[in-house]
Amino acid sequence: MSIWCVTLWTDRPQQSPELPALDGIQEVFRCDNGSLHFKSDAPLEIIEARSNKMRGLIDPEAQTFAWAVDIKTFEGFNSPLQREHFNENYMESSKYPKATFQGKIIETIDYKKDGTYTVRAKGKLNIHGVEQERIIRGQVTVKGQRMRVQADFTVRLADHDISIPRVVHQKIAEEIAVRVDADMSWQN
Amino acid sequence: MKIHPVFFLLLLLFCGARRAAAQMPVFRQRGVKELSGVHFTSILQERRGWIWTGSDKGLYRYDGIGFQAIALPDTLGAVAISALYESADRLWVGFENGAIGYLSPSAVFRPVHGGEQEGAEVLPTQLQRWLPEEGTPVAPIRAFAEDADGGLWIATYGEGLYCWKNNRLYQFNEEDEGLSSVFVYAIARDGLGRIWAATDGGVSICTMTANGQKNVQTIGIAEGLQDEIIPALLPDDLGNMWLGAYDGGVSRYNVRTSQFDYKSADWALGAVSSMVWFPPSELWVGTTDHGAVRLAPGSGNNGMTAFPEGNPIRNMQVGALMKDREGLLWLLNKKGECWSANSRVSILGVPSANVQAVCVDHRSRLWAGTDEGLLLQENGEFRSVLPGKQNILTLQEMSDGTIWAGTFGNGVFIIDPAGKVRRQISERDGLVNGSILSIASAGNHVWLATLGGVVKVDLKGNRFEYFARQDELGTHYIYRVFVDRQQRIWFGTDGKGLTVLENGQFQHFTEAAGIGLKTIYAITQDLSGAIWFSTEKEGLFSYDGQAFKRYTTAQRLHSQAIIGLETSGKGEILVAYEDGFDVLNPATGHTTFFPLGESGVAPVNLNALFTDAGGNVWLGAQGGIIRLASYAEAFQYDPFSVLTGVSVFLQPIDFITNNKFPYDQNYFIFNFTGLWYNHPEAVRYRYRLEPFDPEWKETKDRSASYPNLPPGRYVFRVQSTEHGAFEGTSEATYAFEINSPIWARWWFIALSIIGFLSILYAVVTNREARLRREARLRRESVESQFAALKSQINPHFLFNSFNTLITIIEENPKIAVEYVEHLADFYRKMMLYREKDLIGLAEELELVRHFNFLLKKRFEDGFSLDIRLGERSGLIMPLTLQMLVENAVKHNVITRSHPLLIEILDDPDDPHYILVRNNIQRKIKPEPSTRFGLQSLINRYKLLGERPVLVKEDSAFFIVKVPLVKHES
Repeated sequence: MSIWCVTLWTDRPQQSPELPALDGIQEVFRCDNGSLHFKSDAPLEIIEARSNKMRGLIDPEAQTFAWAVDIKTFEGFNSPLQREHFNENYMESSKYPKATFQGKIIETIDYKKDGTYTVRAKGKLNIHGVEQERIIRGQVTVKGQRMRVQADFTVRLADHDISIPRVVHQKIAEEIAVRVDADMSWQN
Repeated sequence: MKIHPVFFLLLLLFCGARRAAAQMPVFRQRGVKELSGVHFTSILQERRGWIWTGSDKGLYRYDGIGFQAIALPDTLGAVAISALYESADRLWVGFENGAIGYLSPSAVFRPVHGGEQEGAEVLPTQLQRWLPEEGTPVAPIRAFAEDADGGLWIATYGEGLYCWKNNRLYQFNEEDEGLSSVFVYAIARDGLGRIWAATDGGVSICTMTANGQKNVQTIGIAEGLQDEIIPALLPDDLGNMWLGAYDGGVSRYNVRTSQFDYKSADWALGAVSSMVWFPPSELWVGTTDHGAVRLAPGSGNNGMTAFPEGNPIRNMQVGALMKDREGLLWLLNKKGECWSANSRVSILGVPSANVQAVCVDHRSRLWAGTDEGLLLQENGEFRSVLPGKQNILTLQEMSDGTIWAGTFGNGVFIIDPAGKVRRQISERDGLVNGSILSIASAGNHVWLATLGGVVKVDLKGNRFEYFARQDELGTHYIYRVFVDRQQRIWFGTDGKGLTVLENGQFQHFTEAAGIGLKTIYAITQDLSGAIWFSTEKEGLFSYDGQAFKRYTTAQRLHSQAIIGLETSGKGEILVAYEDGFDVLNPATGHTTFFPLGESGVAPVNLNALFTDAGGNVWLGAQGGIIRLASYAEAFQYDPFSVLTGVSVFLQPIDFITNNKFPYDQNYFIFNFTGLWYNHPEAVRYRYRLEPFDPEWKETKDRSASYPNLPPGRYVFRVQSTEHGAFEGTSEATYAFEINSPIWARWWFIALSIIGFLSILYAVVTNREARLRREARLRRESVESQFAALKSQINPHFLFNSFNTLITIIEENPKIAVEYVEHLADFYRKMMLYREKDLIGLAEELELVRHFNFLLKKRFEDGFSLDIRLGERSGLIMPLTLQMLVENAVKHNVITRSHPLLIEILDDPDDPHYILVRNNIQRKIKPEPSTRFGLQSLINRYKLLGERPVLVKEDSAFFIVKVPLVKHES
């Protein structure tokens, strides 16, 4: 695990998405407005929300990455009350303001060459303050100086100690489908 | 002197140079003809008995006769298979490109028709691509394993390990988990449930808990590993781990003490690629450049036995080794060939020698007596022990460590353990005959069977004692002397049957199980103490001290020409023939035949068998020595019967899940096979569809068809065998049911019967009711007619009529005549109509008019009848209106001051009715009434099933409504 992404995201969780100077890192891909969409498809209710403020860095040299999203930036709930429940009851966003995923990319690809690649990212997924090791498969599309990252994966609420009161059990799925779509660009 | 023909065989042989060679199994290549250009990479025997092979061209299922290719789905993007594994519910297939597929147990394959060579027939795919959310590796899959709690581990060559647990895929690599290397060659589970990964950087012992807690412990050179690069891993039967190194041979790690407890010494065979363990003590090692070797770890030189020069396995580049359930050892080499051999049977080629006796001494050295001399194997080489040319017929090691070698003509040589001749006992020393057929050791004595009779001597070779008297053995010709564990001395004689010497008494057995015993060739004792002996032609007998039991070719023996018997350390009886041998389980009578036809050796000699201290049986033969290893495992004795397919109307079905069929799905073909990789061509079958077939049917075909089965419950059973006897062999069964058609099911039949009976009942009851009604109608009608008649000839009526007539006659004879005419007409019509059910309204009215005339004459102005009907037609019961008029007259006062007015009118409310109405002026003293008339009328109309007759009465009028019946036409 490279040090920089740990310091970048986990040591300064409260800060606005200002990126520090990157000493020793020549070139990274960076993204400040990635989209993270989740969907809970429960028998009684479908809950969806999206944040367009997911930030990410990929170091092609070291094949490391770090992604983070502020829980409070999720929007698009069925009601303001639902959003409040999401933040206060389930995610406890004042206590755990961020969800992060950082680690290493298993496949080696040429980030300077245009094309679409399927890669697997192995890392630590931290949601609700609970870290789980995960492998997430995604598609990387390199075009010139830009790179688009897309991934679909599921998050089991139980894995992250997100407990659902029995009353709303039928309304929240045990597995949440997450879709990530981020446009990244080179940053020197 | 009588000499048995077998001896001529012994005498035929001549000498030749002989080189020591290793006793090793005879490998033959499989699938050469049908699969050219296919390179096998992996092999596995699944629980159902099938052998599966992965190759660079895909997946094959092998039944011993043909390889069947399994078509692979395009979604895999690969055909090159690099790993196979069977878990509890799936057969896993790993590919070179990292893709992973699996077969479910219910996979349906097109049935194999007939018994002929199928070649590389392609079976439709049932292989599913395995695609977890996390994706699959891109590096080659090298191996699979399962941990103690069901996690599936996947070894890759380049991406480390993956573990599939709780529906998540986890990875183990160097950086994060400290895996010794991401280049993993093999994985295996040890006795503690941990997963060992052999890599090119050492060995990692990995675990992962259910909640994702990973633990990796690495063993490298620092921990005593012989080499960094470990291409092969193998857990033994105790859960300890064998490690095969790229350089440095093999070692065994004891998982309980966490120590290496064995390391091979002075390894010179290069990289180990694979291993197979035969408990209790043999390890087969495949090497990348020097073939496969057998180790007996713990002995000198690793107890290694290698294939001799010239053997195709000797310098083979071995890729994979596998042991199957029959004890066959399978070998895949780097050229992609598939070879197999029965691991239990090893051949030690001694070209151009005829080995007539074998013995392994207490120092595990092999002695071989040939027709030219005695050979002793030391350091892999045979050396000749005796001077000159000696024809050795029998060998025996004595309790003092000396080897006694019996010769043809030159008596016995006593050789000390160092290989030096200590003494020769010949005819010169007083031995009755110098040709020794059998030697048996009994404590401090030695029994010699010579061509001049049996001699007992002491260990020094002195003090001869003969037993040739008639009351002793009764013959000079003894083929075999055998000392059993109870120290009884058994003699197999030529012509006099079996004899035993026990407590100084001879006992002769000349008959066993109803068979006369003459010539006995061989004797042995099984582990339960029973004596087994073979005869010249009558087969094999066992004697448990109570009864004899006979075994012939009908009881699974390969042949009745038995040339030797020996009991192995496992308690099996080896029955030797000139073309091979049976291994017989004395408890069950099951046998497995081991053919030696292609092995280059022929065990033509009598009683050239020996069981060593390890329980292995040695068999001297022309051209070499055969060894039957006594492994701890219980291998399959008979073919393993499996159902390969069920077709309904030629359409293969999934017979694992389907067993109910509609009545018109009744043409079944069952395909089956007896998996018997030892000798697949020899398998025969018998099958039976219960209860359809009254008896078993025997066949060599591998299918059975049943067109047009009637509905019912069936069980198809098939058994397979290599030698005629089927009892106790494995059986494959398929229970199924053909449903009756809907019209033949019990409930449908029951319902139909109930329905039919209901209809019948309804018809019958209806008819009965109708008949009853008709009868009643008839009765009512008769009664009414009778009543009418009665009333008509009622004296009052006649009296009144005649009174009226009398008055008229005088006043007006003309009218009197008319009156009589009307009276006559009235009676005539009444007589005419009364028999009829219905008459026309007009006719009834006619009658009523006649009646009216009579009444009018009688009551004059006191009575009037007014008929005011429209154009009415219809039918009416006869005398209805007449009776109503008569009733009115009967029940009412009729006077001039109170005239009775009767009206017959149309019913204004209902066109189907006419009304008969009269004004009510009741008599003060009512006329006695039978109450019959009106009620009878009502009843008769009711019975007719027509509209009812209605009676209405108010203060002024009495009204009867009479329905008109439509004309029938």
